[in-house]
Amino acid sequence: MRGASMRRRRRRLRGYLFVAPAVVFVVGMFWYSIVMTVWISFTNSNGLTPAKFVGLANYNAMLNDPELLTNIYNTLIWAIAMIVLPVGLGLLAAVTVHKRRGKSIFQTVFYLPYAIGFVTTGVIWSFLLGTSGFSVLFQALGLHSLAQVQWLNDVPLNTYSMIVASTWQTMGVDMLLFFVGLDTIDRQVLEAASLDGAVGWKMFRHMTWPLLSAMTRVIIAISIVNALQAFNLIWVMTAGGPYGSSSTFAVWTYQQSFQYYKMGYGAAIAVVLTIFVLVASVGYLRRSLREVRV
Amino acid sequence: MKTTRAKGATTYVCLAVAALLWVLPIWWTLSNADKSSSDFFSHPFYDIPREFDLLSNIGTAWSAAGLGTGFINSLIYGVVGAAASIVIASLAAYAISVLRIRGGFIIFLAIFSGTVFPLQMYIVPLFKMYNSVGLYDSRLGLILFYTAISVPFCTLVLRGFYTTVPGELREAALVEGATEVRVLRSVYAPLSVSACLVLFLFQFTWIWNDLLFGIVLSSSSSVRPVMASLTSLMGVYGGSSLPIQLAGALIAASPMLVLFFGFRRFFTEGLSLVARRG
Repeated sequence: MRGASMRRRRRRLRGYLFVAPAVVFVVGMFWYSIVMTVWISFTNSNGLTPAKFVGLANYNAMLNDPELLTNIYNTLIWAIAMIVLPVGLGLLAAVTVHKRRGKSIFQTVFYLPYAIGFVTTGVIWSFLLGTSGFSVLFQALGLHSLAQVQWLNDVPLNTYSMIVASTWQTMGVDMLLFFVGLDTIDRQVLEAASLDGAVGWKMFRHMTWPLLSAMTRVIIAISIVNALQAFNLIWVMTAGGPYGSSSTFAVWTYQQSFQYYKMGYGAAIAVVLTIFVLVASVGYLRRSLREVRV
Repeated sequence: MKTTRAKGATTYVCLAVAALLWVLPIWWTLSNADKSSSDFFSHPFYDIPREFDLLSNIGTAWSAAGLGTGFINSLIYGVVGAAASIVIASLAAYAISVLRIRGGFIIFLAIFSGTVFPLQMYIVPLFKMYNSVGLYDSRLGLILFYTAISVPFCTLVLRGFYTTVPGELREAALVEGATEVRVLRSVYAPLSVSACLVLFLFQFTWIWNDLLFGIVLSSSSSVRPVMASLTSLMGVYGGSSLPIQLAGALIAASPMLVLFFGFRRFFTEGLSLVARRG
């Protein structure tokens, strides 16, 4: 009897040993950081002198910071544009290309920018939107007013230009996700509908779109969460400038923490960003948790 | 009949125009990465290159701003980080969904939700922690970070996968005297090879494309990952040598292109994996 219970205890212990490395990594790095960021946001930490508790001072300072509005505005513009443009165009491309001859060519072409990565995309588009890029082309075409535009310096054009670059990059991956969705739609359902005379827009509106809605929701949720955290492309192309005009919350956090060493302030910005992201993804998280449990 | 054919032709024309818009930036990157600087400065960017300078530009970019070192660093971070996280995650997934340890679901949630927060929540404390324990600006520090950040998603996927493996396989092996580690290694691991490959590609890609933690957790070019080096290549050369910058971009993109064309099937599979996550 005693031997059996010992063995059972040892077996249970082994189970915990198996999860230990994962727990140590995730709790030690990420949960620790989450708690610490909240704590640091209540201090005047600057990475040099010992930090002092300052209560809500950082949050008060944020409310009075003229950069707050610019960052909220840009972050929202990114979120909205990233839902409308890459997701919308991705859906359009997916529905158009799906089951058409040449699908694999279009698939490769549209996905290629995603494969090369954010930073590489930033380097390429910095060149195209710089003085030796499109400006030269517009000049040659006689479009002198367009040639004068400084795509990455003029406000608010700099944000819109980067959104175009980002759309170019991410449309393909949304298209591929919609392909996955289209593949799961029962072909017989669509065939039956087309026999009933549903074609083109009517077919899309009443058959494809409703059947795709689960996938559409997932893609939109992922896009919002990613857009709210937009950093890489902006950091490479404008670093949030000139004068913070194209900054977003993610860029702002980094800049305050690591360029001005106001880590308490940077942490407070990160906490506010987190609240935005959690609010935006609440429905999505609730749904995916329910599915995980099943 | 005629109208549908005309409609089909119009669709193809629209698609071709869109495809052209998507390909042109890539073509201009290639063609300008191939130009000598004198060619680049004396002719508009859309001209075809006059000489073949691609290899010498790639050579210059490779040795400038630590891009070559960054490339090798990122290969190490990507391979080690992705592989280590899969091993760690498979142990955790096995304990949670096969051994069914008590509190397993809570532990799973703790692991899975560790990284659902915006990445900006992690940068300041990790920077401070790395500084105080001597991991800042070290390869080991970046390997540990990249391993950790890959663990949650791998655990999520493998946990789901292991529940589909019939329990009789494990019981038969246990009766024959195998240990749990042995069962995981010789029953579960071989069955999950393709899931692990997809995970490896995904995590490798994530690590390869990371810029934020590269610039937060390291500063010297001998440690920095490739995307951080590519960014400083732009800074060092400013606008003065765009062909070199573009050649650098090609270097940084090359492993991703190889993976994409070599493992296309896995990418689509991986995507449906991510999508099912929702």
